[in-house]
Amino acid sequence: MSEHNKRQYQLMLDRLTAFEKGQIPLDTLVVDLEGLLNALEGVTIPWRQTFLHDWGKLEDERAYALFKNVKILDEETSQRIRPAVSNLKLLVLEKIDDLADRIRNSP
Amino acid sequence: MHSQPPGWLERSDTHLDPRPGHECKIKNGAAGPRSNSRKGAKSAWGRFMQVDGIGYSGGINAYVGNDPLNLVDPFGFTRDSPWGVNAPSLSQNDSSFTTPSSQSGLLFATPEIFTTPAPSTPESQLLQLAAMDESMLRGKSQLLEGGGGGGPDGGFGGSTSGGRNPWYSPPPQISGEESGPPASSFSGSLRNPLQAPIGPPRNLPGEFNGQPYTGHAFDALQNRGIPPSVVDQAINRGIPNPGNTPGTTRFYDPTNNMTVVRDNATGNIITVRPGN
Repeated sequence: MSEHNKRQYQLMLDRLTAFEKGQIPLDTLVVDLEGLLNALEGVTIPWRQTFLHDWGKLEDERAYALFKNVKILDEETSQRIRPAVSNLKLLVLEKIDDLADRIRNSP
Repeated sequence: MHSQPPGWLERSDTHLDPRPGHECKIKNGAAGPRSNSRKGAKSAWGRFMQVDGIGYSGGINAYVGNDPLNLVDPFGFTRDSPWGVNAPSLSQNDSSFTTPSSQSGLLFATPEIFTTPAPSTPESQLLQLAAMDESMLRGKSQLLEGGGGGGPDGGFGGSTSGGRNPWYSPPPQISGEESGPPASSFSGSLRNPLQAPIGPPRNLPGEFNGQPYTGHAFDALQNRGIPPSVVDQAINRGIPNPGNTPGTTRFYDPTNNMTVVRDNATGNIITVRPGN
C-alpha cells in the first residue's frame, strides 16, 4: 500500500470516529468520505462497491433529511445510520490492519 | 566573396579573421550559424559575422552602429529597428546608410510577421530567425537592466518595447453574441467530484424532462458530473428496490453503476449517487 492510500484510509477512519463522537455532522462525513474514496489509488472494485453501498445509505439519509428540511436526525434515522458507519469503519480498518500485518510480518 | 562548395556556409566562429575580405568557412553544424548567402549570422551573438554588403562604408566592425540589441540589418545595407515604429530613424540622420527603409522595414516592422506565416523561402526564414534572436537579446538586456519583460505580457525574451511578443499570439477575442451566455454553474466529474459546501443545496428544486428534482439532486448531478439521461435510464431500466429511507425507492442501473433515489409520495428525485 502506498503512503498516499495509507493517509486516505487513516483520514477516513478519523472522520468516521469523529462522526461517532458527534464532532462532525452527517453532511461533512458524507462529503469527506466521498472525496477520500475518490482520492484512493488502485482500489479494488469489490472493496469500492462495498464501501459505496454503505456510504450510499448515509447519502440517502442526508438527501432525505435535506428534502424534508430536517435539521436534527431522529433516533430512528440514527439507528439506520449506525450500522452503515460501523461497516465503513470495518472496511477501512481491514485495509489499515492489512497494512499493519504486513509490516509486522515482514522480515 | 569566395565561391562556396555545396553544404558550406560562410561563417566566422572561433576562426574569425577580422581582416576585410577574409572569411573563414566551416561546414554548417547542427547548432551552427545560418547564412542568407550574403552574410553568416551567429544566433548566439545575434550578429552577422561578415562585413556588410556596403563594405566598410558604415565603419569597421560597426554592425548596426554597434547597437545590435536595438537594431537589425538583415540585408547588410542599413541599420534599422526590428520594432518599426519605435525605432530611431537613423537612416534619415545618417547619410552613410542609404538603403530605402522599405526594404529593411519590410519584414520586421509589419505586425503580420508574427501572426501570418511568411513566404517559406530560405532568406525569409533566416530573417525571421534573426529577428527572434534580436528580440531575445533585447529581452535579456532588459532583464539585466532590471527593466522586466518590457511589455504588458511580462514575458521573457520575446517582449518588445511595443509590447509585442513574437512567440505569443493572443487568443481571438470573442465578443457580443458570439460568446454566448455565461456558464450557469460549475460541475465536477465522477473522477473529480466537487467538494460540495456544507449547508443548504445550491440549486433550487425543479423539473427536468418532466421529472421533479430536489435541489440536492441537482447538486449531486453537478458535483458528480452525471447527465440527466443517466437518471432517466436508471428509472426506466434500472432495478427498483425499497430505499434505505422509508418512503423512498432506489433505482440501480448496473450499466452506469449508478443509483437514483426517488421519494414515493412526491416522485421527487432526492439524490443520484454512484454504487448500489
